[in-house]
Amino acid sequence: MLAFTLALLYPLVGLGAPVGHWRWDGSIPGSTMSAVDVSLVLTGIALVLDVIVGTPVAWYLSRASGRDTILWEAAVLISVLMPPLALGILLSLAFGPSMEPGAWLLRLGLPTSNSPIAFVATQFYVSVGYYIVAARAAIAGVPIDLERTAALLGLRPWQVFRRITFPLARLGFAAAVSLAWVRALGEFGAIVVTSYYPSGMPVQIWINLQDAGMSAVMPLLLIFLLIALPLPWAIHLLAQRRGSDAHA
Amino acid sequence: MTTRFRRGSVAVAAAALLLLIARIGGADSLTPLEVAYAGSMGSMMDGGIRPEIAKALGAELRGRAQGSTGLANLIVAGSIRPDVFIAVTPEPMRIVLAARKAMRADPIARTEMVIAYSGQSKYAAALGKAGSAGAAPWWRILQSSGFRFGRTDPNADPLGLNVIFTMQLASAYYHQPDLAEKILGQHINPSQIFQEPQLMARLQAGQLDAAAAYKTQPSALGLPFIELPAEINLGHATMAQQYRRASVTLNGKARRPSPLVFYAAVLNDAPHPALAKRFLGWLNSVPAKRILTQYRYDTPGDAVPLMP
Repeated sequence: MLAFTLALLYPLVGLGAPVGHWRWDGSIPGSTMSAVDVSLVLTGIALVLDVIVGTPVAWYLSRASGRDTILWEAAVLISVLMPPLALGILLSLAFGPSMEPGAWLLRLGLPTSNSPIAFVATQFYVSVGYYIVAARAAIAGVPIDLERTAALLGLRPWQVFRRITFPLARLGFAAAVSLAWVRALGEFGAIVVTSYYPSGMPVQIWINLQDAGMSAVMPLLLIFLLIALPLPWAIHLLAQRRGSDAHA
Repeated sequence: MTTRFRRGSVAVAAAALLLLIARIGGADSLTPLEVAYAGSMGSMMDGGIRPEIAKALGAELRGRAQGSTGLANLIVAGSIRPDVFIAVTPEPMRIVLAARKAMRADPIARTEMVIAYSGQSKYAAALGKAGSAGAAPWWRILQSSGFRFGRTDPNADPLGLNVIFTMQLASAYYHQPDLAEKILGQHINPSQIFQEPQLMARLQAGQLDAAAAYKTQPSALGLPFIELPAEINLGHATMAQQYRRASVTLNGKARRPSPLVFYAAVLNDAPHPALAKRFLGWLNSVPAKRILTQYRYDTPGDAVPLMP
């Protein structure tokens, strides 16, 4: 286990490369904290959307019979399999002025590129598929008989989910949320096309790299790791602890 | 938790979130100006131009840096819609003009090719002495076995193409017929080609010994560089005919060098057209020219505007 962990964490050694004095703000004062703000808040909103939209979808895919869900499964898989850069280019065209939904949104005054809306929408598109795939597996692990029994006893679907399904699938949901979070937080290929501004951390790393070189990138890499890690780790620990309580 | 408490806390959380979004969405009074520019211009744009135009034009610079050819293609496809496009060499700008995305492009600066090298390289001392009498010339040092030379992709980036031109011209200038091939290998040489921002970064980190660059690039990153003779550095409009003796065939098309002039154009579907035009006018002002000189850009000289 130790050997594996060391091998896995080896790339972090790169942080110690001799690149000169670390510059904590690149060439633009305040850009580092601004990028952290943008990443945390807007990705957080996208994560909430993932959970709100993705959970019912995951439940349906998990409980409906195989024949009914073939097309829906394919749709979810397409969103997961698309290379991020391809997704970004397609999003920028589909929501751009040359196609009708985009043109309509623009007429309403909603900027569909380089705006918080574009940022959150792109984050949603890249991460919701991952959330659904993981959440579906989590729900599938809960015996359907328990849900059916609860329904027979008079509980409505939302209550069944809250009192039966979710507590038993806690760990799986924690994994699904963590996966969607890290996927969205680290997203670069799609975001760099659709929403260069406001700049999240991955785009800011790119900007710093071009403007000032490695000495301005290292600090942001370190901050990125420190920021990205707590949420999924905490969720996992919480889920594990309460999971074991439930079984005690 | 009682229902009222939950509703209350949800309302507070929603309000806090909206405030945060408003803050991120740019609640300041500056008008955004979206500029897409050649990758090498980042330090000047963010370090020098951004604070100046905030004061002079009330504009917030939102720059996007990438290889000029790549940017031109994104603009033509409609994937990005900046206010202003600044490209190096006429070719990327001609792509945009031909697609009717802009009506004219004005020359705003000029640069030339240099060889930037890493202070940590074992060849650093030799490269530092390269110009002086009795010392080995730069092109011989670059041919040393095991020398790690870096450049960018000729298909995506004018810089990548310009390196090849420079080496061909050097081969004729120094009377060394195999100079270009010995230094570069094939046109597309996987061991030498990196993406533009990574090239300078790898030089800084000592992973490469030297790289081809525009004169504007190395000093921003604290890297030493070797200047090249005017006959081969692609920087002088008066030598354009001489430069055109070099030629590279890429994807079936023969490409020839153009002087390294930076062109700026206001795009037809700019989100902020009035501000964009003011910006282009401002680029001719005294403070703008001072910034250009500070970042080692040369004046455009006798380069002329481009039209479709």
